[in-house]
Amino acid sequence: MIRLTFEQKEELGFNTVRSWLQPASPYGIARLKEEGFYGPEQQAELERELDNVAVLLAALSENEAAVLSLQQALSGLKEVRGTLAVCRERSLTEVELYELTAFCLRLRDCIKKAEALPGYEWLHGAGFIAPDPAIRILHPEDSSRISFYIEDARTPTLQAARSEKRALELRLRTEEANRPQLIAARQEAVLKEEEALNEIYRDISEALRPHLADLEHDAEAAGRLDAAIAKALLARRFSCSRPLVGGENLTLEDALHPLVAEALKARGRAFVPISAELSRGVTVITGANMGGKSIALKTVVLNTLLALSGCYVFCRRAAVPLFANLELINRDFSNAERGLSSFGGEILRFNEAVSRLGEGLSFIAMDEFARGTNTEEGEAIARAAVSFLSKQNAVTLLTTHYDNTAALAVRHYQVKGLKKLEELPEGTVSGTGTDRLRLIEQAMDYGLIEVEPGTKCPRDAIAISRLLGLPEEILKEAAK
Amino acid sequence: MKNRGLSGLIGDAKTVVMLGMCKNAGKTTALCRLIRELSEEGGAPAAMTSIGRDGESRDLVTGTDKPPIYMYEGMLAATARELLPLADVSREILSGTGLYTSLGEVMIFRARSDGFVQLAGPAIVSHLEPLKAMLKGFGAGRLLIDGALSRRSPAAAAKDGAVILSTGASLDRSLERVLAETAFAAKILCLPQEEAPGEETGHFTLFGEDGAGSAAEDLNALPRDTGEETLLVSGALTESQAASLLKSPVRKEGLTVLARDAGCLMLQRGTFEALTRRGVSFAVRNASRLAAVTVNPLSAGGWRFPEDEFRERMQEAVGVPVLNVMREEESHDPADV
Repeated sequence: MIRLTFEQKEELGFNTVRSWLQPASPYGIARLKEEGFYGPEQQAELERELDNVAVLLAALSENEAAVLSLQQALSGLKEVRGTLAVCRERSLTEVELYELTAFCLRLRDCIKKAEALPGYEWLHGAGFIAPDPAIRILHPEDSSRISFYIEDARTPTLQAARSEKRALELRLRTEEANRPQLIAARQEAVLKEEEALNEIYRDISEALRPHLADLEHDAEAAGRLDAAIAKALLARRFSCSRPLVGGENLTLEDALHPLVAEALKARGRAFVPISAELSRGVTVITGANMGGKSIALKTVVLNTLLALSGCYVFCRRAAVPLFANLELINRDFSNAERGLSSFGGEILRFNEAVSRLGEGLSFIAMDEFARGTNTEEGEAIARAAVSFLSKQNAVTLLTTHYDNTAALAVRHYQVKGLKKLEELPEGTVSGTGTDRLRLIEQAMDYGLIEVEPGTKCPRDAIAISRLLGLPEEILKEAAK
Repeated sequence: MKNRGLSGLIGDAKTVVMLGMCKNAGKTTALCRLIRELSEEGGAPAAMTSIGRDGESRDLVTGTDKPPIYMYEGMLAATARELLPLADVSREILSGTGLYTSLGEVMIFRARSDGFVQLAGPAIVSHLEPLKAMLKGFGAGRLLIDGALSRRSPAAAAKDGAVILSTGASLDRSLERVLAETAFAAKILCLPQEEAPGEETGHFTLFGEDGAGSAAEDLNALPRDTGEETLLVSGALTESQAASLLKSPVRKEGLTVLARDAGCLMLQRGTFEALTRRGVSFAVRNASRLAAVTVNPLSAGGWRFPEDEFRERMQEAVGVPVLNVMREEESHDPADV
């Protein structure tokens, strides 16, 4: 099971991307909430969900209006699952019966629109059971007008009570005399009407009972459909692609982090897509400071999580194993609140990840592991951890500065890093702070290249400090 | 032709807000009267709702809820879900509204017989706009709004409509004071309409003769030597704000206080009069139309005012038609029994 904290999902941008999914009905919202992450036993289910998104994407391109009209119809569905549940226990009230009537009539409309979708027959789990039997009970007149009223003719008792009441009401409109008596007589007729109605409500509720499960099934089917439409709309908006799921290798081709891409776009820059292949064992990303190692890691984890929650991914191509666990071990600011240093927090997280290794193939993403302590011991710990993890049932991704750690990796990527300084524009050491940051953005190639495991990290820290305007005197001293 | 009572006075107003000066002012009786008159007139069915729930719908003797409003077949009502079972009118539920009160969602129904209903509509005045649109969708003609007690804020809902104000002996033992307080309320409800001279930039914006506006959060800090100026109030003008305006060193001669609507002017009579004496005038951006005042000469405390004198003097004080809705011979309402 994937257990990430809310803060981690925030940090990864997962919460924001999921909030872009906008289901139209309470059932779609509930479906997304309950869906969670698909585990190793749920490959078929995940495939079905992705199939549904694919069918709806195709429907969107073939007949967008049909999908949007279905979405509109779904948005009219109100939450009635509570009412369906109480109907098993007691008679429904007039308002509850109205709500069920409205639900059934709107559901019928949704079904009609769903069945008109191109490719509807390919959708999984969207098979509705027509609510017509329930509609016949609630609305014997079977008009499509949404309202709830028991007509006089429903039972002879009701008919009698209503005509008695109506006659008195007509007299009350015109007669001056005997008003208190008329009012009292009407009050009697009101009671008879209420009795008759309550008996009818009880009969209706009883008659509905055999159909409640079908309506619950339909509510769930509507939620599934609604959630899949939301996913398809998001996939279309960002030209996302369908991930292949299963297997043991995590492969991403031209992956993006949409939030970072958006922020870069606002500054007139483009996100450099990331490609990586991660297999069992440890994959290391090294590279310059400010070279986007952490962003590369987040991009990989975010897209993995999206695939495992049944969404299309921000990649050209992706293959994602159904991991039993996904652990993110990063600098976590909430540690301070728990009285832990960032280093202490990392170690505890690592312990937890290790304790879950027996549950199946894990994905462990570690951002600058053991960096929060002295270099010598930090490197030793990181190296030992890599050595340990490379023998476990886990796909590990580690960003680090420690070259020796990378030597133990099965695969090693480097951020391409700073371009040669002579390629940079004139005046590199002038300008204010923001200008300098912009300069680094221009000078940095954020792409990943695969290198021989253990290849020395480029030594860019002094060059970067120079770009950021560290005094020359200090730079000279440092370069010694 | 017989005087059509209240319905004749509201003209073609699409929205009618009923306001009461106090308990037992006869507001519910006036509303019932209007509903009956409209049912006899025919035309598109009236719709009714309230702003919040009126305390008067509780029977003080037994402590139980009594349905105070009698509606007629075909009319529409919007009331809270939990109050529906207390209605005894045969009803067809047409729609929920997505507007919630402490008594549940406001539901819309159509009366399929005559009968009693308890009204508890949206507690927030701005929710009346979407409700109006929904009721119109169901074919409603006029919308009658039972306003909350002793508050003018529901008057905001009467934009392009009419207000009926109910008052009575229960307000005070002194007839003079009842006249003065009611005349003050009527004056507020009849304030002239003016356009805002410019954009509002704060809760208070002061506009000079040149039309330039400056935000003035602190009324005490207003420039002393103002000329013909307008003080634009974006929300409520409370009694304490009005009192600090009164005490501030600003020159008051020629100053106009411009509120959004009559409901926003929450100051008391004494402060209003003191400001007026110093040359301040009041206006609103959305004027309401006071169509009538109804009087109840009988108080809950047992004292009563001379019927004709009360009505006639009220007429002089408020300058709009005044009706005594409690007169037996004029009443057909089951609600009066």
